[in-house]
Amino acid sequence: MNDQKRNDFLNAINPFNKNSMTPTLLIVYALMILIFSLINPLFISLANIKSIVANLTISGIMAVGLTTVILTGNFDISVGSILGVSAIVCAKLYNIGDTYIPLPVVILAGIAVGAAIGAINGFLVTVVGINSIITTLGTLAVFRGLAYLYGTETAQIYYKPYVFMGRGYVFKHVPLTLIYFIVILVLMYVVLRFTKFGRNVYQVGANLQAARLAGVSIKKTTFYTFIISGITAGIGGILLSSQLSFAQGVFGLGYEFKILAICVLGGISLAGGRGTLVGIIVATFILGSISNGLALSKVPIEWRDAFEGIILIIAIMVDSIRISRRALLRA
Amino acid sequence: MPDNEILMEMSGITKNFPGVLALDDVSVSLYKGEILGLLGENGAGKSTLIKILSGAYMLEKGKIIIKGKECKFLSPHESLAAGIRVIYQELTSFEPLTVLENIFAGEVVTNKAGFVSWKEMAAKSKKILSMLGSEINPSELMENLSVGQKQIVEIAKAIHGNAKIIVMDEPTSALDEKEVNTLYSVIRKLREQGVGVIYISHRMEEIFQITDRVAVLRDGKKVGDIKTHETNKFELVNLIVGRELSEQYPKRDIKKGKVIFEVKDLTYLNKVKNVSFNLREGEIVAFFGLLGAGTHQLFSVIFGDKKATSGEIYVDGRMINVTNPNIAKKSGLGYIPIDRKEEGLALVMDLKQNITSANIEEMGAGFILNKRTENEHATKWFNTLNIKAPSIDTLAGSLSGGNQQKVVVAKWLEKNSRILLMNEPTRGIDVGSKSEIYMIAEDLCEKGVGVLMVSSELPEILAISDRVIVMRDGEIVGEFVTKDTDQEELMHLASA
Repeated sequence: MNDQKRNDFLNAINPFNKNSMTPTLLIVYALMILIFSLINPLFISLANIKSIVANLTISGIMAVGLTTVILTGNFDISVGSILGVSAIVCAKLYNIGDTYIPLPVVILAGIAVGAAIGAINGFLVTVVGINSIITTLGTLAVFRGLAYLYGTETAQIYYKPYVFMGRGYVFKHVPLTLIYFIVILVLMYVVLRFTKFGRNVYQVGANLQAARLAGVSIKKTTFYTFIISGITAGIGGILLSSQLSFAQGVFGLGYEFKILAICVLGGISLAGGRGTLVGIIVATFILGSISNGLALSKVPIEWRDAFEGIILIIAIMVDSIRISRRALLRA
Repeated sequence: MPDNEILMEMSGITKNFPGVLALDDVSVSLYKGEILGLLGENGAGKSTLIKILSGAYMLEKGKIIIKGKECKFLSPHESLAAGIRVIYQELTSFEPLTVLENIFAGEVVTNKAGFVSWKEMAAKSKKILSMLGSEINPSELMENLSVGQKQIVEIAKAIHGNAKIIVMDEPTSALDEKEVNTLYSVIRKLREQGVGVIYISHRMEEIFQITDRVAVLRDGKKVGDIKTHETNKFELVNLIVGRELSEQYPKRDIKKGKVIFEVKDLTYLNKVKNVSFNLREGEIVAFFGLLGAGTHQLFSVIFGDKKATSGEIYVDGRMINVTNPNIAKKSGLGYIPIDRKEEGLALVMDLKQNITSANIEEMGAGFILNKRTENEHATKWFNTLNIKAPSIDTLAGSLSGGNQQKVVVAKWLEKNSRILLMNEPTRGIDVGSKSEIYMIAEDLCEKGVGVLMVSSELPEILAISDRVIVMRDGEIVGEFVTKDTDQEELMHLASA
């Protein structure tokens, strides 16, 4: 029985284990915190932790949405542009002459923009049948263009409650955005694990043809995941414009890279059908802390991007090893 | 006839996987110019043995001696260098390249200047192909060849590299009668040239037609090593399964009910032409045809995987418009596809998820997925079908072929399908699982289910079906009550 226990333990910490790489990520994160705080004790100051957390939640929320798309074996590169358009739309709503637009309407507008672009992506991928990377590469460009077009000038937001939404704290130290992140994450966790739709998402990603022959509606399932990803990106736009109290066309530029890195690092397999949202939490914190930690460690800014790139490559490497192990199942 | 010179000797081979002893002190030898049949149920250790020989698995315990020299295959490369070639069931050819490029893949011939010498390669490949008695054009694209021709190219690739030992894993599973005969003559030619062939097959007839000697594995041990002409089918089957299978195919007398399924003038492009037939409750109707006869397409069209060009499909006398598999499923149809790994199962998902995948709608109220309901349903089929796996939480990919097939069947039992389409339901699975699958089919018939089956194995059709429909070039060319026909008649009609 001792052997059994030892095996269980080894399985639990093995990054190539079928179940999870979360334990490994936790160890990595702990080491990271230790190193950064040794270099600069400010890293673990309350003020810094608050700022890290407030910053990382937006990418975390978007990663939750993107996860559903990746689980079906597809990809959505357009999330950064969706964020841009959503932010511009929300900010503009506060700049229409003297008209007062209620907060819920603005929020709904931001979400609707995300859902609509998600629906366009979903339509092109499922009904028209274009490869999802190509589709969203296209919409990435189109909607970035649109964001620039309407966001040439900075759109300021002076409405206090809107700004508070992104900058506020509860219990003095807990950023509101962290609450949103947790709520969205838990909600999607439940959807993926305890609904029929969630099961179908995994089915489609694990084996498309088998899912099709089992009568699973591939198109509907895939379509909805793009809408979910669009909505979370829309929420990202709302929160970013709220935190900064303005919006510009460049908002969200290059985000796809960061969000993808979180998903892959969190153990969502790019081959589809594998991974859970649990890993996303840790991955979000790791990537969210890294640029801050590097800055406090006086690493030049040019190197910080490179660092994130290296992490992405390592994560993809681990994923591809896992995928090739999975291919062995077919042998 | 085999020389007395020993080509290869594997002795005392033992291989452990976590929790399983895959090979237990197995010794196999191969003589020059010999065709050795390697038999055994799925999971008996055949593929493990081959993978050790090909260097895919590391040799842990035991010896491999090739031409008197002890070898430790640490990588596939070393095995190749020793003259061992494995031709896998799923061919590994480069589809968009030419035959010539496939034959010389990885070992391009160059001239003195270091450039690729196309002329020399063309001449060489022509020579090899004609030696094999084949007239394939070396500059033809691989993707334009039939499966049988591809196999011959694979063999050409193997012998141009000076193979001394060729392992063939179920080489005939996708071939028609004519191609099988061509393959046999190629294998016999190899034998004349002193090549040793290890031939893996589940089909008894083939073993008796082509091999000189057979080695039988069961549960990781070698249980038999006999000259082929000194044994018979009965003895081999007993060695393979380790128990007396008094009647391999149990056919019961089941009462037939009303017509539950009917197809009228179904056409799909030029692959399926004006096909009409019906199916009664409790009846098994088998479709037989050679490769390209349209039987597989027919099933795809009926289940909505491909869209019919014209024709009508009726369930219980009501016409249904099957535009996708979901509609077919809801009309009471179930489909066991030909390739369970690619189409039947999500290998990275567990057994319960696979079993309930076609019936997910019933797993809880509304959009909620009730895990307890799912567990109960999956457990029921897991036990009923006697699926051999640690639990319903085991990944489908880790099961043996026969047990995987049971999971695919369970999926449609769970959906309570009344019309079950089985496309080659026993392809590549062991004798024991085969008769279990037949048993399940008959149990279903007793409950009033109707079964449609495509099979390329005539003994199977004759044993299990009530009626046989023969197809050729997309058309039905004959229909028989099974007990009034025989193998010769069906084969003759299918190949005429």
